[in-house]
Amino acid sequence: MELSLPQAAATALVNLSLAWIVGVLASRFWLMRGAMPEQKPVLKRLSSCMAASLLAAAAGIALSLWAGAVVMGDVRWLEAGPVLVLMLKTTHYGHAGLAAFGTLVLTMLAHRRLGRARNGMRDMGAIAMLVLAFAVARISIGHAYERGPLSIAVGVELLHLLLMSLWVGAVFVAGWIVLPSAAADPSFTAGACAHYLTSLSSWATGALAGILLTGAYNSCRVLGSLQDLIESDYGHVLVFKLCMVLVAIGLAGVNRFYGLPAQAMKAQRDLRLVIAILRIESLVLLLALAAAAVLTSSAPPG
Amino acid sequence: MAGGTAWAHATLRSATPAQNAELSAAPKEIVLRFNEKLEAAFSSIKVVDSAGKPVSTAKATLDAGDPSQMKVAVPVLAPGKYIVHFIAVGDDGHRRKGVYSFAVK
Repeated sequence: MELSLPQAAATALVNLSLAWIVGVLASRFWLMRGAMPEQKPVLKRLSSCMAASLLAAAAGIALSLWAGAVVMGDVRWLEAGPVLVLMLKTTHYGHAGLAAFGTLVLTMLAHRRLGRARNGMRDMGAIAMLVLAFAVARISIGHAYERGPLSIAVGVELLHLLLMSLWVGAVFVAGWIVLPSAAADPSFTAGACAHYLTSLSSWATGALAGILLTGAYNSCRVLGSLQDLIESDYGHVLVFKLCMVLVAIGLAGVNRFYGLPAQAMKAQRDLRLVIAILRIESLVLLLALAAAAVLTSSAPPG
Repeated sequence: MAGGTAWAHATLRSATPAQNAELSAAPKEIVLRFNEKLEAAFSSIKVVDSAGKPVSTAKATLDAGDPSQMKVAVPVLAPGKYIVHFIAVGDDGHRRKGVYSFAVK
């Protein structure tokens, strides 16, 4: 398995940032739809989180371009400057990276506007479209793109990335930002909290179904046979990723069928169990994201 | 030879002259066919003789109609063994090196 560690690290950073970005967007949407646009403290925290995630994504893209120049030109880490310029000018990898970087800058501008403007939903729609464009640029340097820019492989890969970002991001944002805020903030009503949890649960379930379908399609496309799963390094990492996803699904199930009803029954802000499970789930998903980045950066068998 | 039949990352599909070929007539050019589009600025071919000396300084180019083909012209080769080193960088930004040999009788 040929693998450039900086390229894999950059991919992991980009994927993780994208998950946070999508998670913040979704959480914001659920909160605003859920009868409490006045929920200032939590929206403010989400806003800072979005700004940080956009910066992290931009850093990830910059790192992936630099690491790409090092690999393409076979030069030392600090001597990649001239190669980088040539790469940005002439290669598909460079063009896609520039496009990704450009959409991030536009998203940052749109996000600043969202902080000031009144029409939040419309601006959020604009940000969502920009994030979609960013995801397209990100996918176009992946393995699926070899099948052609408008191929089914690219569409499925894009859907997989977006749904995975939605699920992982929703878990991160709920477990580390929104629910801790809800537990600490008296103006966050129990009804609003219940509405948020219901949205989270149903969206995550839908995303999960899509993730499993698109993931199965991708695996069939990439792997020649079951043998590859057992015998190649690529297959081993894929199995590890699948195991992490299954553990996370198990934890999500515990939350859905035990944590949420327990919270609802007490009809109070006792979110400790739900938060704890979400946080464990987020760590497991972090490992799945890392494995996905290794897979993106290495050659599949077959 | 790098690769095998994997389709991901630029992988050599076939070559003219072929690997281990023993040619009675010297080839005019080396043509390598890959599984995906190559990046011209970062892909290259170097042909050396059995002493390791490059046979020419010509730069490899991509086929105008099919950018997954890379070729380089070579001067008239005297009988002997020749080694082809290539570097292939594909759309996905990965770099693959490969080497194979052929002989002119």
